[in-house]
Amino acid sequence: MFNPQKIKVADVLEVEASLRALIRDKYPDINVERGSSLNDLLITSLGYLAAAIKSDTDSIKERLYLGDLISSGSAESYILLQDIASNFLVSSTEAPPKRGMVTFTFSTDIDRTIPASLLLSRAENFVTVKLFDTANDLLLTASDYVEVTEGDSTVYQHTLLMESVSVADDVVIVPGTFNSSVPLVDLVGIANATPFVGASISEFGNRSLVSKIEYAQTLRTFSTRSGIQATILDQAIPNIKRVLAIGAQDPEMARDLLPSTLTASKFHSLGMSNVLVASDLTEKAVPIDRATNLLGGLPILGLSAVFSGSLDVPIVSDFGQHRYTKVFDTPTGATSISYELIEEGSSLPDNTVSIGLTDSEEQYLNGSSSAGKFLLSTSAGSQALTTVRCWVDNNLPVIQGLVDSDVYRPVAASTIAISANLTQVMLPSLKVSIPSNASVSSVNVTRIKNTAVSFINTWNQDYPLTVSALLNRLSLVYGGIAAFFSLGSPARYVVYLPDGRLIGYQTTDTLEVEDATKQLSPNSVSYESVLAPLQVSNRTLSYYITSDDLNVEVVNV
Amino acid sequence: MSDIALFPVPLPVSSEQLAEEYSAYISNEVSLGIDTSGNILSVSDNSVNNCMQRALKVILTEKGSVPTRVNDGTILISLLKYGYNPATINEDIVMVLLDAETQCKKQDIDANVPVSAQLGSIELLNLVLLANGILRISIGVKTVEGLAGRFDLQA
Repeated sequence: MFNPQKIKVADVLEVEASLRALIRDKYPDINVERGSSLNDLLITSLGYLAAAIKSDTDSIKERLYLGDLISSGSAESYILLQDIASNFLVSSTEAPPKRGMVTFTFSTDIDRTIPASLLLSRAENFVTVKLFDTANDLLLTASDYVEVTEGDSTVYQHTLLMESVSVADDVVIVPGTFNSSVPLVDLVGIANATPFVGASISEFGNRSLVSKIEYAQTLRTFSTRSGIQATILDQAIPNIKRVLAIGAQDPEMARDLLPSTLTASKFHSLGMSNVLVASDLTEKAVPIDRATNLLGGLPILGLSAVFSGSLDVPIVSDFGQHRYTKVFDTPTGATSISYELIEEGSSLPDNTVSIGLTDSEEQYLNGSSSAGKFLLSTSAGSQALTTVRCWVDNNLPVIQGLVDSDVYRPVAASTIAISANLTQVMLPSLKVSIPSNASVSSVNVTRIKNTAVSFINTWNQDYPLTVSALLNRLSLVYGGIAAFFSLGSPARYVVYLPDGRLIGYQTTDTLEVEDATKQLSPNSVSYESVLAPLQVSNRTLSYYITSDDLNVEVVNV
Repeated sequence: MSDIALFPVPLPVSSEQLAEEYSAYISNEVSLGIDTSGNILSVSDNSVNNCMQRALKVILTEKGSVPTRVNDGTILISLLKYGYNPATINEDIVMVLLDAETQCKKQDIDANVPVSAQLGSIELLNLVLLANGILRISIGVKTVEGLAGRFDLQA
């Protein structure tokens, strides 16, 4: 039966035109124009017949390629994908539940059992969560608790990976407190500091099924890049840009270096691996405890701004005689970075803040959620800090939870999920050159900004971003509008180090860290002796830019 | 230039019935024709027959039946299939013929038909609503040059 929905007008017209041309060539005396009997009764009919055949062949062609099936809007495409997936023993499953880390706080560190059947609820939202590992009851001993002292009181915390009972698309579990279904001895409270994460059911469609096919033969593990990809895909961790497995002998593995007190030469112990994750980040405002100026408990990758009341407080990072200062300007939302040469050991200027670690071991754990991880230092004459705005990676605690779970616990003695090094990009002058006779107002600056921001923020390669890649992308997208794109001034970028400090760079080519000549003051901070030991390299960078840090200028040429 | 010729296929009707109907033949379908050599017969663009067969084709094409050209054809078949208002049937048929005339003239220009052989007008010569519910329409087709032909439609 003729189905007009499958027939494309363009196909019919193409066949008609071809047949007309053929007949005109062979029989020049025959009228084949529209309205002629030959056209209306024969050629048009053949056009429809050929278009119908073409429609079917297109449909078959689409079924042959996974790439076509991913983007196919056809209702049959998912069924076809399932057929293909069955060859790889892959089947479609329900989207996994949302997962998050939940901290149990107790007033004592006695041995206690957390039953596998434990349910936590948040009554007002009808939210119920359960343990991720439910094979056995969990026995906690004194060594399993993290001791936290708050004022005069000491509490003992243990954090567990939990998941929502419901897999409905609209399950949203924000930070908050829970009630336990069973009484736990000396329980002070149960709360999650970061939201639960997970892909929505609608995201769990064609694309994820194809990805599962691609990783069908891959072992689910946290030891190899493919294994990590497959595991994260299975667990539907959302908004992942990139993952990287780092093990012994990799240049970014410094956590396993034996201390110099034990060995004179650089020596790696075996059995440690890092799962480096680059995700889309969330910006979160956090109040500062004025008594301690400590910051932590969240997977913080960098501080976008620090406030003292309504005052923007510059962030200062010292490297011996070299000082980098990052300033956030609230009215414009723009960030700037500057450099100055100082006398080593100089005190902080008033109303600035310096960020450091309270535990040096944390320098290897970029993005860890340890309580009181960062100490915010100010000069004696400074006003008290009130709030910070920081970038957090909510996926990281969940991935660490998965790593630690009975399901995925790797063979390696110590596997840690760490975050990629946040690299904030600033483009003070992106020039869009348009032809001299074109109106400047005809260029949609907002669209160009969005394209550039999206390109930078979704960079997922294991090599660093380049200015030319960005400009090429813009030229491709806006080829008919702009003559060419260029930078009026070098791109600047701030690399947030795992120890809380930051360094400013500028470049007109590759946005990288290993070339110290690109620092605002070239070679001010040694890559080999300062950055490499912090497990920072070109391939561990994750780029981020806000539209406020991107200034587009349109000029006529 | 020429087009393939369409010929009405006469139904086997007695000469008495034809006389009653004042018709030379009665047909409910058209066909291509072949000559003695087996070649398909054609009709010259300059012929009034060509003009008539083009007009007949437009009039009998149901509007909307060509998916890629939804405005081609007329609503005549729809009127006969789905019913008409006897009180306004005259006006309705006149509108159908005007619509067909407009389409035919545009097609003639697009197809480079010689001006003299292009459609001049389509006229409603007669319309009779018979007692048994049968509608008979007599349609006249005239070229710009003034050559005329006529055919009857009955449904």
